[in-house]
Amino acid sequence: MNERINESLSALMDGEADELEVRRLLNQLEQDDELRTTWHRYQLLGAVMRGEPVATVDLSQGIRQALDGEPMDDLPHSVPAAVMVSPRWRWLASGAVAASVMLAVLVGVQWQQTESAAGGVPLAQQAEPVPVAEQQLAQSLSPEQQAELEAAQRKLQEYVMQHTEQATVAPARAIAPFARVVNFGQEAGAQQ
Amino acid sequence: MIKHALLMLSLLLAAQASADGSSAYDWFGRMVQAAREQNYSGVLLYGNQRHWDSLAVQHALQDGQEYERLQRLTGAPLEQLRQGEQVFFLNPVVGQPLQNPLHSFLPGPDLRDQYELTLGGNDRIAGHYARLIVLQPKDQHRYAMRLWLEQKTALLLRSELLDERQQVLERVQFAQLEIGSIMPAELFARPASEPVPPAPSYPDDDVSWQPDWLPAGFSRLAARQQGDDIQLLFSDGLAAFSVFVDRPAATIAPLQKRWGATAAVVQQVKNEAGESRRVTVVGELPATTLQKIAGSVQPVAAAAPKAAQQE
Repeated sequence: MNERINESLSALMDGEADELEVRRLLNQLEQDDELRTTWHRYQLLGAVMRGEPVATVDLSQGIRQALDGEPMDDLPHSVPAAVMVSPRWRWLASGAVAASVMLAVLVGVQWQQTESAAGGVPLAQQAEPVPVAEQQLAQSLSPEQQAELEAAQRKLQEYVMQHTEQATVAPARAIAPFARVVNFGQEAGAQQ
Repeated sequence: MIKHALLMLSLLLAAQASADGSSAYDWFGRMVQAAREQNYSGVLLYGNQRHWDSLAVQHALQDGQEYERLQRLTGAPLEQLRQGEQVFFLNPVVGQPLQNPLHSFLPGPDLRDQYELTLGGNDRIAGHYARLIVLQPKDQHRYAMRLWLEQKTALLLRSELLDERQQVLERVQFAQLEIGSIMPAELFARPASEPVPPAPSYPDDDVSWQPDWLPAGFSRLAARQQGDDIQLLFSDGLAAFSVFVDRPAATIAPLQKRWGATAAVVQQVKNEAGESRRVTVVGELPATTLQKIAGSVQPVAAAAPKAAQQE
């Protein structure tokens, strides 16, 4: 692997990568298995150095989870938030589900595969979604790609609302669905 | 005197025995009725691990008509009155009608084909003694439920929706509850405002694409097609899911999301002619089930020409 990429990766981990580097890395990560392995190793290393539980710091999982909305196994989040978001991640924007989707689209195919291999359920103890550099990622997409993704997000949101509304009235009346309308509305609001 | 006491005791014991002797399915039926027939007033909490809301509920049955006041206590304020099927917004005067979570269960469907119903132990919730009933699905395509019912009236005190690893996805529970309470009539008096227009009835149109596979026990409740946009709704009497088919503007990446008990999957499917569609399946079912449903969506050979004519 070329040394420069390695350095960039390290910079990305430390939150010191500039916008150009992030963009280049994302492209590289998409294509390069070896780079992905290194990326995971760096995350692991960083976690050990910060004294974090190793199982909670897989960024790809965090992103996937942000993409998924919520952890599939919905375990109680016993790890304090302060530990989850170390100062190194401060440059990252928060609440970045939309950005995570962008990243997942860029880097994402292999995670989709991992997920279906695991029967749709992530394996390990879940971390809080690790925020992603929203602005930088947004800029790494062409305006068309960005518009497409936003449209896809909006459409999904609309469909979920429609489902909940329909399921609320007779004759469907599924299990307390109105609770979900409220939840979804608020979460959706927070994403925007 | 002693004779009387003994008689009372034996009557009590008999009542106890018959209550215990009734099956979980009987309890479930009584619960559905109790939500509509009992007078009750309390505060409900509902939500998932991430988010909680609360709702004040007042419910009465008078002369065969249900009266109900719901007031959302968290988030955006909303207060509504229901008289039978008519809903009135009190404050603010517009919104999306709320539904009493206790009314989520319908009297109609026999769930015993899809769920094993068993009686569990006793507990105490919101100051009332409760009996647990468990609805365990017979396959892996739906979630389990635990319901805690008040010992005498079978009113639902708490419900939990559980995934395959028994993690709670969603919970509804009374924090405080009075059963059989007498509420002033003016509480349910008809306001000056107009009732909310009733929801339009479900269309059941022919559609040009639909799933080829459904989990056992699910049947179609509604179907609608406008141009290439299709919407379908299915239920097994307890859980529901919707299928949306449309023509995406661009190639779409498969997606999987979850909000509490509700999950969504997005997939691209193709017919034999290579035409592609975006399929979105949303529902209160495991993601693996939703994926299987989405993957099975196919063109309906017979319905396709008819749909084309309608255009």
